[in-house]
Amino acid sequence: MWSKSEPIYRIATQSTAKSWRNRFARYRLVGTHCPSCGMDHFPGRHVCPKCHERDLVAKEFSRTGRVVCTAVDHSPLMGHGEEVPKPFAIVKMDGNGPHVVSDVVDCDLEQVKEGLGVELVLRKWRRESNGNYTYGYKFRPISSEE
Amino acid sequence: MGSGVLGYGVAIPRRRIRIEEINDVWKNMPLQAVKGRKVKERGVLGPDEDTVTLGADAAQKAMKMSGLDREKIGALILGTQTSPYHTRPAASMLVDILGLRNDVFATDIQFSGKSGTSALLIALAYVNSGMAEAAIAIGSDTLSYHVSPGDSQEYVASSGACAMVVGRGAGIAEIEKSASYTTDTPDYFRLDGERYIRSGGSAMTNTGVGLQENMLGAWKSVNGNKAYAPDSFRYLAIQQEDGKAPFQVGQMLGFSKEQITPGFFSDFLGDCGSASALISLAKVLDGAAPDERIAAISYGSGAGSDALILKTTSKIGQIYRKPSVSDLISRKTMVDYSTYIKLERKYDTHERKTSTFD
Repeated sequence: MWSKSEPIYRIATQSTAKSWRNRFARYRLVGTHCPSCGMDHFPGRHVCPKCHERDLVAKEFSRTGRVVCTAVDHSPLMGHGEEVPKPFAIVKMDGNGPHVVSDVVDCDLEQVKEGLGVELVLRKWRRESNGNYTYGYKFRPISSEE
Repeated sequence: MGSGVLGYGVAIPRRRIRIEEINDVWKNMPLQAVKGRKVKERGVLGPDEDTVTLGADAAQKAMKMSGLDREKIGALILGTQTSPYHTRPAASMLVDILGLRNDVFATDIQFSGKSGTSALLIALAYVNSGMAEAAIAIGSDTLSYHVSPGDSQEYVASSGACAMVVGRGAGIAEIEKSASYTTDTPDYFRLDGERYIRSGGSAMTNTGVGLQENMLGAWKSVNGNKAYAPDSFRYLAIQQEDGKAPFQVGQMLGFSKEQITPGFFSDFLGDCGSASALISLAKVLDGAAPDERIAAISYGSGAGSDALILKTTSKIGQIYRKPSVSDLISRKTMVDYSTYIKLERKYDTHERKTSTFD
């Protein structure tokens, strides 16, 4: 249920229509693949930047990846989580997937290091400009037994 | 050919709070009385978690375990009493989150604490009737977010989700029988527009008119003429409103402590609402061997009870069952009372429509 203390973020926030269009990218890392030159794109594109092909097909990238670069946010913007300090990372998705920046959740700060194996987990992002919830990918460490 | 569970998955929030932390702040009950409910820690929701995120996590794990092509799922039923929206459905979000076909049947079930098993029975009905080859049932709840600070339920209310993929054939556990029992017993409820769950008072919650009567009714119904002797069951998976009731009611139904303990989890997690009975079943399946019979009973305040009888098959030894429910419960970050209040947004502010750094 809606709570007054949950901030609505007003700067550079997606409208419901815009976030609806990119829902598959947020939920499952769906980008595009160019059948003529073989290039993958994430976020998805309408035109291939390499060969200008327009008939691109949707491609779902791997849900697992490896941390290649980390940073810690000590003063996150409003609507970006109430927990400080907040680790985030650039993750290279497996299977020659894209590099994606997002929060690393459900772990201790010291755990987030280069080479850490992570999996995609769905979490709430900041709300849309009209208060609608936006869900999207974040990353969680994979334990050795999984 | 019957139907059975093909895979299951559980998601619980990582953060926990000790009941002593809560009692230190409120001192509204003697600590011994709080401890008598046999819940030592309960889950705290993160700021970016809700019914949808927990349900999605559990469903992903269940699909992975089942090994089923997602194109084969014909129905998705989400059972929850704490959906983030009044009008926007959550099951449809889960269809796109999981990447299912868009011609699936999807629906939300709001039926109190037994929404999860209600969803499971509807999924089974879809499979048994031939309307779907396989279906996914999810029980997901965030009771901790909806319990008022200072309320006696604050000591036990938690959050969690469990998903079960069911399909034709016995799978890892065949579902032999099911029955339901419904009465109008409002022991806990939340009014429209209210944030917090209210109690119907101790005459409703402590006298056995709710939990005991409904569970006994469902059990009598599924076990008509005592067709099964209690010793024909290896396990009991049961709804866990706290740590005491499962043993109390379980023993009234004729089960021993040894049958109840393998599915018991609420001592370090608390009341997971509509996911509770399903998480208990998942914990039993984590350790079950082939050809063992399981009884599963849920309860929802004001809703009633569902009872199921399952029997594991030889396939249960062949699937990979990690991380187990016990593994998930052991992975935790403890938080203090004020952090929990902040994370679950139990404070008043002006409505924050924020710009850059204010």
